[in-house]
Amino acid sequence: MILLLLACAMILAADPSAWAQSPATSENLPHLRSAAQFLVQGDLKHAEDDVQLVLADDPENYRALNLLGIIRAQQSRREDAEALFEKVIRVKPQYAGAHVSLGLLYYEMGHADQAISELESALEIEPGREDASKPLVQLLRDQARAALKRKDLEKSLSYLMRAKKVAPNDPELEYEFGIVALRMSLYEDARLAFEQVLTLRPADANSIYALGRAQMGLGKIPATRELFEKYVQLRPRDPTGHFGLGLVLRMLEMTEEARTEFQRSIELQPDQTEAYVQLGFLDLDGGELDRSASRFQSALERAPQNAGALLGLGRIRFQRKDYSKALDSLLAALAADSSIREVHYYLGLTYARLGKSRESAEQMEIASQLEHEDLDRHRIILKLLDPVDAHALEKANP
Amino acid sequence: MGSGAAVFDYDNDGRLDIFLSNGARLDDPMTEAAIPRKNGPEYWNRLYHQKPDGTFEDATERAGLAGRFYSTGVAVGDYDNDGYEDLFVAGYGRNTLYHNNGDGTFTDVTESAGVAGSGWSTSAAWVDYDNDGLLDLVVARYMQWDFQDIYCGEHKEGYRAYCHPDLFKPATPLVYHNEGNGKFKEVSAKVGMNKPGKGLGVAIADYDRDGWTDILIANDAVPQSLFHNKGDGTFEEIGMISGLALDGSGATYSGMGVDFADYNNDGWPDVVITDLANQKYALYVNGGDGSFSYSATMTGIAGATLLHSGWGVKFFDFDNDGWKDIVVAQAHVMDTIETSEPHLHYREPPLLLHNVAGKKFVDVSRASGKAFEERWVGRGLATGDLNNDGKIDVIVASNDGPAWILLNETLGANHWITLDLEGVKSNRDAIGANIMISTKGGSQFATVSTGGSYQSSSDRRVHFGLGSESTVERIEVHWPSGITQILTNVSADRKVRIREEASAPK
Repeated sequence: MILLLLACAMILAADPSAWAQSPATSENLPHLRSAAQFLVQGDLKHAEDDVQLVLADDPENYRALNLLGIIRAQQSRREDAEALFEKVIRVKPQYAGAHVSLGLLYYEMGHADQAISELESALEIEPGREDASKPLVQLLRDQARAALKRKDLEKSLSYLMRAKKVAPNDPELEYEFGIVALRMSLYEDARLAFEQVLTLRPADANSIYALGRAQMGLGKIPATRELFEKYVQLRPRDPTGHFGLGLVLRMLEMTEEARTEFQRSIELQPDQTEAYVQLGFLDLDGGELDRSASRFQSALERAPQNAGALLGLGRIRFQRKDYSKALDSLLAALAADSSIREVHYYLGLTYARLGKSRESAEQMEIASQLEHEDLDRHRIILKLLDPVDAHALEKANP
Repeated sequence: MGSGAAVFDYDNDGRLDIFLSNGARLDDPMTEAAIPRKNGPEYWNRLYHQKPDGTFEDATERAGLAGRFYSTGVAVGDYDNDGYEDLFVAGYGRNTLYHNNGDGTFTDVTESAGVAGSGWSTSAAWVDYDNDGLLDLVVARYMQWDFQDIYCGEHKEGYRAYCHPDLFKPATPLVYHNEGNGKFKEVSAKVGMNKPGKGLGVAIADYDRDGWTDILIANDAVPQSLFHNKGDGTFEEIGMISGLALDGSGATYSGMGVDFADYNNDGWPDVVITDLANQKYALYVNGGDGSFSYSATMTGIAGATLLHSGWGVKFFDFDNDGWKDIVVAQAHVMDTIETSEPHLHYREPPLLLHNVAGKKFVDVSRASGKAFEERWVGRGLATGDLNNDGKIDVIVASNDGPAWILLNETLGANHWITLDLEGVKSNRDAIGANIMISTKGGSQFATVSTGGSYQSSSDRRVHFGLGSESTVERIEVHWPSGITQILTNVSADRKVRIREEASAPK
């Protein structure tokens, strides 16, 4: 019930002129203030005495009813407290304090959505009320994390967006929002969030890295490179940073520089797999098939079902025209991860070489579908950016 | 999307002339189904006749080539085998075929020929696909599009953008079979080439060396199309299974310009396709077994082109070292690209990639003259030896700007030979003829074609750089008619005319 007591403290701290409603209740003011003080001190009996005095004189005094509700909540008489707060809201719907009280009660009772609703109502009436905004933001963050845990990313994002409206300059909140947006491939939203964090905390390494990921998703590869280079300077012993930088350098076709970063990542974390896979692809792209095969084998020794390494081996065998063995590797890659477009593509080519045109066509169709799904994800990003563009798309493609 | 350039000798005076296509008046708004028309000299297509002193004079009006519609691509070919190069001008809404009258004038024979077409035509190529001695015509079409005002890009001042091709339905190419007597018949469905795509470039070569010329269409944002000529008057589209349709990771890209030539001198024609920034131009090595391998990264092309957007492209040996290099007209498609991606540029200089012994391509643009530092909105590109000095020159058409002539002044003592073929039983232009030359330094292979690039047409004559070799030990010509002709010990550094022998053994 700590939150309700804090709310009480807020009531006490309020400007005395706010207490005055009409000349008829001015006599009750000292009792109301006294009740609030007793409440904060934990003296429920004397607090109720003062409140009852007011209610005897003015049974519909909404402030007294609100305080009584707080007393009942302190007494763990939650249903009574709820009824009292609801009564106050009926009598005085624009009294933000009652919405705060009810909201905090619901928070304590674990009724998150109802708590959020009441606290948001309080802030609509009195924007800036910290006794509403602080618990509301916390509540929304808790709900966002719970949603994230059960992999409901959209819900998580939705809670965080509402929290951001309440606390627009909270760097922690922006960061959390950015991470969820990143996971949903909402790269533009993620970018804006991490840039906001970095204006408040310019040297925040996690945000620098996360911004790099967002920029990579947006295809802004040179900008991504700058960010990952900055990250690696801040955290030179983080293998993930070197790996990320290696990925970007590979995308920029800076093969030797990429190779250096992947090797550095391996030095820092020898028992990883992915850097070996990336080195394998660098060698494959460069036509160094033997060395490439050796890298992929190293990866598979650590992780026998690594789809990337299996794909890489499959491609090497395909290039060597050993189509039966290529098929084996590519089918194993498919079993490990059926969402990789490249696997389906090379399976399609391999089947074609083996004269299996039906199977080839099937795999090519799946590869094409996967590419369209990637494009559809970009359209979703577009929708969030500008609904008018989405309308134009839908109109052109009924 | 810009316009094209053609390099050809229209009056047979031995000097190459230049034709440039141009757009037409566009109002704002346009009615949806409008077909724009040229309504003033500023929109005319232009023919420039090369004079003996190497300068050019505007011969457009006299030739009758100003045009009427929004012109896009151009293809040069002697479709009636009368010895004078005719001109096909593709366009939006309507194409035009000009018959060369042989007296410096052309006649619009579109209606009688039956090649007006419809929709948005882009590049075209002449090819005798059935080896009957008459040039047929393949016309790529871009998409099903009209002037309906669809807004794309952010709704902010200065952020409106061209719509992505995905918003529009694909279109089938047009294939016109030359029936003789100046008539053509549209046969794309009959020959199996009516596969929808978003065609921007067309190139031809006999990629499997079975004696029948195949056709490659570069498509924007959908798989590239390779039409294998089955030799029975029909084609099968095999882009996907051949490995040529997509990039190395199985993704589509914005294919625009295309060329089909043997860059590694293994006797099998390879492919280069230009596309947009962040996609890397595609290079496919012909495996000789009906398959192609994506090799852009291994050859250095990917690294050299990642941040560039390319249109017209040709394989050509600029330094006569015996290895075909690559030249590209560049620019982004979006004039607002720098707003959203400051590291990319709308205007770009052309790109020159030097072929290092068939293994790698190296960007030598900066070392190749001031022209490669200038930023244009490059689109069409054609090649030809304008001054007959044995070095291939380049013409670039640009948007909202002049055309550019890059005169090849490469220093060096490398030898060369240019072969000017004349068909007798085969089509007179010898388009589709496959040539193999051998010197002590090695062999080279080429197909006679005026096609390839983007909306452009290049010199029909086949040029080979010979490096330090001053003699070609053997020239082997495989004519479309099936005739094989062999010349031996031919000295270099000259143009050699080869006329198809009537009854040379196969």
